[in-house]
Amino acid sequence: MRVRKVWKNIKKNVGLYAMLAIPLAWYIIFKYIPMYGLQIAFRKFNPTLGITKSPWAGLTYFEQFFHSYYFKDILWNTVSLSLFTMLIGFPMPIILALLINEVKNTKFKKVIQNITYMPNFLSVVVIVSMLTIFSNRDYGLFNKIGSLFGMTPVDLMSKPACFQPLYVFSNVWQFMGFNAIIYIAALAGVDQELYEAASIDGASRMQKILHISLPCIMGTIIIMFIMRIGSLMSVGFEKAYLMQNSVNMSRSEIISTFIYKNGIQKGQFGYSTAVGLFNSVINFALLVGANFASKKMTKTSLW
Amino acid sequence: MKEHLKKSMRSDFAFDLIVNVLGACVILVVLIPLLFVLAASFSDPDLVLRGKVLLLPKGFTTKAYTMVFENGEIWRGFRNSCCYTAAGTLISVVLTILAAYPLSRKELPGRNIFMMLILFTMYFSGGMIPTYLLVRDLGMYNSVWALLIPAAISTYNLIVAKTFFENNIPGELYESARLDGCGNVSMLPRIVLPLSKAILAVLVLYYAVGIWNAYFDALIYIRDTSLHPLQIVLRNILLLGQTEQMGTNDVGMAEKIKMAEAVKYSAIVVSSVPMLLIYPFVQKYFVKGVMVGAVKG
Amino acid sequence: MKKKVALLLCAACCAGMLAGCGDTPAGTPAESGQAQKEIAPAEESAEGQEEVSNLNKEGFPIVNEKITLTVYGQRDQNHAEWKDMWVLQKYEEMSNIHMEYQEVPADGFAENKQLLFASNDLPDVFLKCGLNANEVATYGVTSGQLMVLDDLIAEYAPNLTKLFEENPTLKQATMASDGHIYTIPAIDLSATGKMDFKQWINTKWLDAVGKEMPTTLEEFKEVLIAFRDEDPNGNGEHDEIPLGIREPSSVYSLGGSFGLGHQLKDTYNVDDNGKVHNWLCDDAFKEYLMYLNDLYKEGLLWQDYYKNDRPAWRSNLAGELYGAMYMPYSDVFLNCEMHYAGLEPLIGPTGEKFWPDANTGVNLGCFALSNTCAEPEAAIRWVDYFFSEEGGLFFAFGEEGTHYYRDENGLPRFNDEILNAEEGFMTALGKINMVPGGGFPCFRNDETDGVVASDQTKAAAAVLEPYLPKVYYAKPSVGAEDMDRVVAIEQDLNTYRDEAVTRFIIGEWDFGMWDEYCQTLEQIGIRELEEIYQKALDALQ
Repeated sequence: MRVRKVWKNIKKNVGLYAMLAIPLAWYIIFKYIPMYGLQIAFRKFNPTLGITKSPWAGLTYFEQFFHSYYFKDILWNTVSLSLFTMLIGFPMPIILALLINEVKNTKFKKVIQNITYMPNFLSVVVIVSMLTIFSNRDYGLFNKIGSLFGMTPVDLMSKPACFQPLYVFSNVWQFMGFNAIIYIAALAGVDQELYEAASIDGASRMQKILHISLPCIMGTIIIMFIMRIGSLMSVGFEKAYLMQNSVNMSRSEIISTFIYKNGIQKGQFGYSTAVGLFNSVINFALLVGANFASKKMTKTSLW
Repeated sequence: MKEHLKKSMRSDFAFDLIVNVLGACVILVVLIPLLFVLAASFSDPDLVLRGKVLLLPKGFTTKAYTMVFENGEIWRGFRNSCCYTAAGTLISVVLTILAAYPLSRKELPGRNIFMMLILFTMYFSGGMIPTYLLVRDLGMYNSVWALLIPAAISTYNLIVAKTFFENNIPGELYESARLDGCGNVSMLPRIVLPLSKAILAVLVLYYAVGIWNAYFDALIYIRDTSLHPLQIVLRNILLLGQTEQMGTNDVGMAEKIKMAEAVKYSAIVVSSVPMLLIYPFVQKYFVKGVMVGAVKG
Repeated sequence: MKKKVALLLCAACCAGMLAGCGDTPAGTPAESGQAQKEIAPAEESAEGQEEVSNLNKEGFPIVNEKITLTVYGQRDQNHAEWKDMWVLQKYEEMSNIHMEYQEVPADGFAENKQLLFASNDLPDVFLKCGLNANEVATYGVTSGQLMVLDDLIAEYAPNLTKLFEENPTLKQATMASDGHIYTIPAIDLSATGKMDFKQWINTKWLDAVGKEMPTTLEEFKEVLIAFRDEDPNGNGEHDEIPLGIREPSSVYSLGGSFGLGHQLKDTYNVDDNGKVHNWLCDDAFKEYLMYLNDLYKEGLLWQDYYKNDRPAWRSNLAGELYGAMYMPYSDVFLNCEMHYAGLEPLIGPTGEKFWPDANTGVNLGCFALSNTCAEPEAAIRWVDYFFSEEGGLFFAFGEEGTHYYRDENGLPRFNDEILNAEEGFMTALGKINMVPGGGFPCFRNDETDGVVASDQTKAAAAVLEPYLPKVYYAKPSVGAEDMDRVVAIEQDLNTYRDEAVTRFIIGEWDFGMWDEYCQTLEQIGIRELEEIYQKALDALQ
């Protein structure tokens, strides 16, 4: 009886399934079939034998990675860059959204919004070349501003210590406005009566932000936060790769660039796939963990 | 009572002032680098190199732009990127809607399983090598398709679209459409899409920007230089220091490199303008689309 | 017994080949234990029979009926499209072999090549692919994607065979760890090709500051100081860069003065008994770094040398801003090359006078065939022509009259419209042949090296030549069992070395760090690496 009902239900939705079939096929072909290739991580890949016939290598590649002299550095570079990006990059859009929400003049509000979105449209290539240009010791913008404050000019791109700040702050610069949209939207949805009630109680503007605005968008913030944790280990490969040079390597080498250089450029396919798998597993574990914690503590969760 | 109101008004004024000043600061911080690039692109490269240019062009010249426009590679890349962006955006938006609409229908049996299948791919992937082998096996290597198909759907965009449909198309609308004899499939063009201009704008913009700015897939999948998108050409010029190939003689090298410095800026401007130009057109729908689509995350 | 089997097999191979079965590139499989790698299936040899009758063993055309080969390779930025390149077009007419080019731009080539092998969807011919020892070991010895060429060369490449017979070291340098040849190199036997970097000094500046050619390190430093302080280019600005070193990997050139050799094209010395030693932890190297550090601190060494900023380097070069510097050829500073002359090796603290930067004359991995190549004999004949003197000249200079003339010494010289082409010499040359970017399988001698080496370069090389090491070893290929270790160690070692050496030189690290640096190198496995190379080198002797 129940089976029949389900069957009827499915039949009723045949059209929807037919639509869904196309993108679903895409997911299976381009996302799931390659996952099958992950076994390269455990095999000594030999192209003539193909993925499934190459001899097993066990955990050799994982051991090789863990024992590599640079393992700790790379892991730390990845994690610290990620944490740093999150620490600065996560709250900035929220603050900006709160700021924009407080601006009374609608025209000015629009101007701020539109201008802060702009950098989002620039490509990584453009952003990195701008960084390179601005970091130049002789004519770079950063050094010109720095010299106003009496700093000695240095080429920032070739200072390992500058890699992370450059990366993080340019990220903030580029995405702050765009990432703020979501919070601005959430803020727009806050019930105006709450503010009015607070005004009658004599709350100051700052108090209203802290006790009304912020709590009201907390749900959105938490969801965004969990999603960020889930990609903690996958900080943007392209940007780090383009920003790399032989001098800042000690700080700029992260897992994804390491995989690229050793796996794709030098042909150690098994090794690089193993490192990539390690990365994915950690990401996934972090995501599940963060979601679990959030469910327990705030009752908000992704699923 | 009056005293109290006065005080709060005064503090209100101070607060507004602070807010506006901070807002102005944000605008400055975002704008200065952009203005610098723009100014430098119109300036005498010599003055740029000596650090004389800040926010206004000095020694105004459009020579750098002439050079960019005369460069065959940049032009070809520009044309290619335009085509790829147009075609790729169309494919991506269609595929995304085809997935997002059925998944937004709450009565669809098994939709949670499908959603899980899709979400899982956000965190796990086969990595570059198996994907490459697949693309090659499918015969897409060194063809435009390799840039358009394997990266066609962004799961994030799919979620945004799905959420939009869920929140903005009331269930009653589907019901009444059904009573009118409208099937699930024809509901999409007749009912859903007309109400979804905002989300379409969002998807178009997201995908267009993504495709326009992508360079990595082309690096891996495209061998033929005549198929290269603008970003690859740009990368060669801006980051690999190959600008001297645009020059002519080794003898004039110093002169050329100075000019190349200026081409850098105009190349950045030329490559960024198309996307900045699209934005105002879709902006009207855009803000609304992201907001509604994204609230649930 | 084993020998007999091998002999028999050899005989069988030869017989087979005479009968027209050319597809036995697996060499002497009984010995290498790779019998399973026999590439030619039975039915193909029948097909081969027809093919060979199409093939001419001597002269042109190589094949009577036109055949097509797919060619994969790296295209230099100065190249015209390969199908439009004069030499290749002309040679297609001569040989009757049509090439279908799959050329990849230099940017992104490394990844493209690896992925191509991974996909196992191979072209017939690999040209200008720069296949290094690791790649030969992986894709040749282990996976068998590259064809073994030993027998093909013996049979169809008389010019190359002659060169190998005359210079056994060339053959040795070409062999993979299993003793087979998988790739054909570019061979440069000219005097300028015996070393990579030449030591140049600006003689105009020397006159301006009134100094003699320096002979010792101290004199050298004095000259550099004079270059720095006395405005030798007379423009009133202190824009002179006394010593130009192009990038972190070329800081070792001056090490000869401290007895630091450049054997195995790396940081090794090999003594008379053939003992391999990596000197990265030696006190001599520490002294050398201190010397460089001193130069750097004094502002004598190019301050940006470690940034790998080639455009800046070239711009300085063309602007004649370097006092002394290291460059292989003068092609990028032709405008001011007459002001630069070769400088003899400088005498160091131990009184040694020696130029370490030698070359075997072999540029590995320029040409290879895939195991799916249908016409290996024709392909080998195709490439062999470039190893004759005539073919080498044809490749480098094109056609007499059209592209070059002979000067009073009988040496070929490019015509003026090429040499002084408006679009630039290298671009003009890139329309004729693949010389720009290098790495084409061909033979170069003193007659033809003028294509890249100007007279000034030849003179600079001649100054250094007497001081080159007597015996020079190329990096030996290591066996498959050591391969993974070598890759893993070198990866860490090179990264750490480049970083550490740079920090010592630019003074970010104090020399108090030296012990820690040595310890780290030991930890990474510098000695193990040394042993592996020792083993591989001994195996060759």
